[in-house]
Amino acid sequence: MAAIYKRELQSYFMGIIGYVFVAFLLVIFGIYTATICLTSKYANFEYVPYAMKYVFLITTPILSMRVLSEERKLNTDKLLFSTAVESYKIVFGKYLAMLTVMAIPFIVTCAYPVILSKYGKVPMLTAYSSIFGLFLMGAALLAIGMFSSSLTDSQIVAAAICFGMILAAYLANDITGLVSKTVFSALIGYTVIVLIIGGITRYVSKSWSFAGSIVLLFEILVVGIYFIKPSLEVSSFSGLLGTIAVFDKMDTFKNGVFDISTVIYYLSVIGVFSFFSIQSLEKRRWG
Amino acid sequence: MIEVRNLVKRYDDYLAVDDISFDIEEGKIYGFLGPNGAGKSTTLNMMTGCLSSTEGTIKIMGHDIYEEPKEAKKYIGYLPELPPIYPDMTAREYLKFVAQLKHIPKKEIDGHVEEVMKKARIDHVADRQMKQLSKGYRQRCGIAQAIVGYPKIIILDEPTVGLDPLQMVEIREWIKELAQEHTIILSSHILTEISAICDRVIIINKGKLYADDTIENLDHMLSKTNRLSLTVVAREANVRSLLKDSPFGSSFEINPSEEKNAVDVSIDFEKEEDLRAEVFMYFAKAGYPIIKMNYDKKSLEEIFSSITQQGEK
Repeated sequence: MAAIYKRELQSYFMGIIGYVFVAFLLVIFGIYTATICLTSKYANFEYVPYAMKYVFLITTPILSMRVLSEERKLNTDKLLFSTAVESYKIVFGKYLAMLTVMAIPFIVTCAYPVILSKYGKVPMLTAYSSIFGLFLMGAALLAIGMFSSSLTDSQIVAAAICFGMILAAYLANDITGLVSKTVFSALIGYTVIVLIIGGITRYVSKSWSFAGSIVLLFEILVVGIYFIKPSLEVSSFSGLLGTIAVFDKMDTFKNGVFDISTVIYYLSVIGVFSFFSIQSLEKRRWG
Repeated sequence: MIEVRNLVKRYDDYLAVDDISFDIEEGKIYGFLGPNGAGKSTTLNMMTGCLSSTEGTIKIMGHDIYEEPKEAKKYIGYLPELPPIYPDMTAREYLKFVAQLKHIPKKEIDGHVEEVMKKARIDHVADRQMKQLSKGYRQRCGIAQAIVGYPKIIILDEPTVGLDPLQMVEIREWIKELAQEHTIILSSHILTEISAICDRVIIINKGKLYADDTIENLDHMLSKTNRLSLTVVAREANVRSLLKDSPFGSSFEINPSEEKNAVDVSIDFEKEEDLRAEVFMYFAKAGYPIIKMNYDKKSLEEIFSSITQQGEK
């Protein structure tokens, strides 16, 4: 795993992606620190990570798009498989390399509250917990990006899938606001999700009948609940959207709460998508 | 060394490899021969654990490739169809990376990589990014990767594809050198390559195994019809009437020749005996001088196409 980690980390800085990513995040950190803390004279650094979380919609695909798809394209996955490297080592080695690259601008940023504290009273713990929250959020998004990258051998397609997935996560709370008002819109929302699940099942199993029966089964369930207990339909749907709202979960850190359940939430997202990535690599061999 | 039994690979309704069994013995060069899309790469990918099989077993030195992958893969070095190189790495960095993957002790890595690079004759380009190297050198890096750790068995999938003739010869020479210390399996759709290097040929077509034999045996098995090619100074009609009444059988062909006032004649004999002297005397008696005579056996090309055609019938 150490070998994979080292090679991956090297490859980010042999090309331009690593530098672009680090520079881009540093610039954004800088801009928000300048406008919020210097121009508007807020002593609360925690607003900076909060304000810039949308930037990860762009930076995540940049960093993660090539991570697994490139191996497939270069045929180097065969090198890894024929030398008996386990899939989990490939996935975690690469994931840790991405985290390391992402950590660089965060480490630099950790100096900002200290610098600012020379000129006023900065609530240090809240500032750092907010930076930590943003890092965790970025780490969770990278796991999603890594999974997207395991699905295809094209970087562009991987970036598009990743962007689509994290955009859905970004908008989830806004959609909740629209949907939860009526039972019918919850039904539509569920139907869309069922169709997406059906599409993925078709892609993985390559069987129309299997995917069709899955869609039918879930749809009966959703329609059934719609007629029997409409209130459950609404509350469960907004709950579901709340769960996929990866971006909004870090808000608790901005409010000065170091929430263990949020930390566990992000670690679960990382765990689940790493697991999916491993399965996706294995599937390519066993397909 | 390698034991493949009843290997099957099925993709949805497409049968890529259909019930193949064979053995690989130590110290020989094996040629995997078949047209493009015959199932060669699929078979090799399964033998190296890069791809699952639908049915059947593969044992390497007694270890099942799917059940004890770590043990089994120790004995194998593999060059897939496209050399699995990272274009932005230098050859030296790359081979060190491969050495780490193959669990070579840290202290030995530097020395070992230097040695492999010397053998591969890439030591003078070791510090250039591999994307700047020519295809021949990249292929060398790919083979170098396979021999890192000196595994007992080296599997090369189409190692000379896309190279210029000179590079092809160099790679073939190198493979012969490697065969002194390793057992080699090499796939190709080029017959001359297989017949030039290999001791034994495994012919695959449309996922099926058509033959598994030495080159001499294959040659012998299918060269029962011998063909004699002549160039005779005579008119076509004269040769035709002469051969019609000849004791050499009625299977012959006459074509215009590049030589002046001459024709090219080829006669197929059914018996496997040398009739050159008789043919010469027969034409001499009739007063037609033979100015060129060639005794050609069937080429591997013909053997290959007749084997695969037989199989289809």
